[in-house]
Amino acid sequence: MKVKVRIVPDGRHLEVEAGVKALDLLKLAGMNSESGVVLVNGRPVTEDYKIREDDEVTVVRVLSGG
Amino acid sequence: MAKCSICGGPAVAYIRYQKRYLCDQHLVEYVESKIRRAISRYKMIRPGYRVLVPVSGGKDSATVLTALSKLSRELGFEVVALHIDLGIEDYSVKSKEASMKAASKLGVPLIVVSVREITGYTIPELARKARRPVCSVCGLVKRYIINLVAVELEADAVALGHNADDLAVYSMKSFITQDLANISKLGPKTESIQGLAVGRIRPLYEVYEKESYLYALLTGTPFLHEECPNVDFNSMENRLKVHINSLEEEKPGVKITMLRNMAKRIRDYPKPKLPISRCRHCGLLSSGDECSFCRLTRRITGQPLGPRAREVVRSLVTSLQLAPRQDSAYKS
Repeated sequence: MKVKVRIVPDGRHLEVEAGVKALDLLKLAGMNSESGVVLVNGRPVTEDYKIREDDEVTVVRVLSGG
Repeated sequence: MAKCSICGGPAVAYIRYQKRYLCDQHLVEYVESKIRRAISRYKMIRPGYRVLVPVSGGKDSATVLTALSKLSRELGFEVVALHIDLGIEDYSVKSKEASMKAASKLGVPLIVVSVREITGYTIPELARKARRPVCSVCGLVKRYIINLVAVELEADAVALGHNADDLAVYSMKSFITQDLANISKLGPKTESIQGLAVGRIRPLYEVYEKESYLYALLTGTPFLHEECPNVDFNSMENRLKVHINSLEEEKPGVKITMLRNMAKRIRDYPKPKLPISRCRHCGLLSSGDECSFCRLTRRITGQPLGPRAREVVRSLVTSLQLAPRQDSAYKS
């Protein structure tokens, strides 16, 4: 089952399989554990969290452009 | 799901360099304790201070404003917020809205200064007329207005939102370009120069950018996720930010070590050699007899607009009706 992921602030979208870990999701979005945060239903989750099929997932790039 | 290392509740973050999981409440407390410790370690704020917090609408200034408004009650100082309306399309409209919502939620008095009201032009228009890069004109105008408002408020310090990642990157860039005198300005605080400039403090000196984001998010302070449309993601600063964070992932704590050592050695770096003097038009800090804001606006409009900016800001400050300063460190 695919889960749709929104990337902020770029506005891009990704589709991943349910069960993927938050850290792998960050890497897929071109970030790492320091430069990005995964939000599930608006709340941050730790890197070992496994995405579920009914999750609303956002990956946020936390490094601002300055 | 990972559990908070302190209370066992559901964790929202893993603090790699401390090998600790934290829940939302303990993450908020952790960031506040880092800010409180930095304020004390670097002697940033004393009881009775009036602290000006410039807010852009972004996460870092939202974090500074939230944390300082909480700590102001505990440590006995006053907080006033400032938002500068830059006139950068839709971005400035949303930034102003976020700043106003944040200040109102926290009950902090807010001054809004419009660049267009003072100069007749927005930042992109000023940059076009001056034929200079927009970020360079924006930085110049913001630094001028922030200092002007702080002077008119008789503030003791200006609290900037630079986080640990920003400062690590500015320092690395200054080292790469061998602009060592610039590193001397990147410490946790700079001193006031009586009547000319108010010293700056950096309460997020040891707060990582990710922690700042999580703090703003978890405290529910309104902030804008969007970036300024003029940001260049290929700039040296932004490329260095990606590199230092790859290094941080491999060697947790490298940013904090760098910044703590930089604070200890800040005096070893050469100081900028520019002479300190007073602008003949507006009377504020200048490296010659005309400050860069008065020079910029004189070239564009035919007259230096520092004196007009002072008038506008003075009337905004008066309309706030703050209690008069009794014992300002800035005055002494």
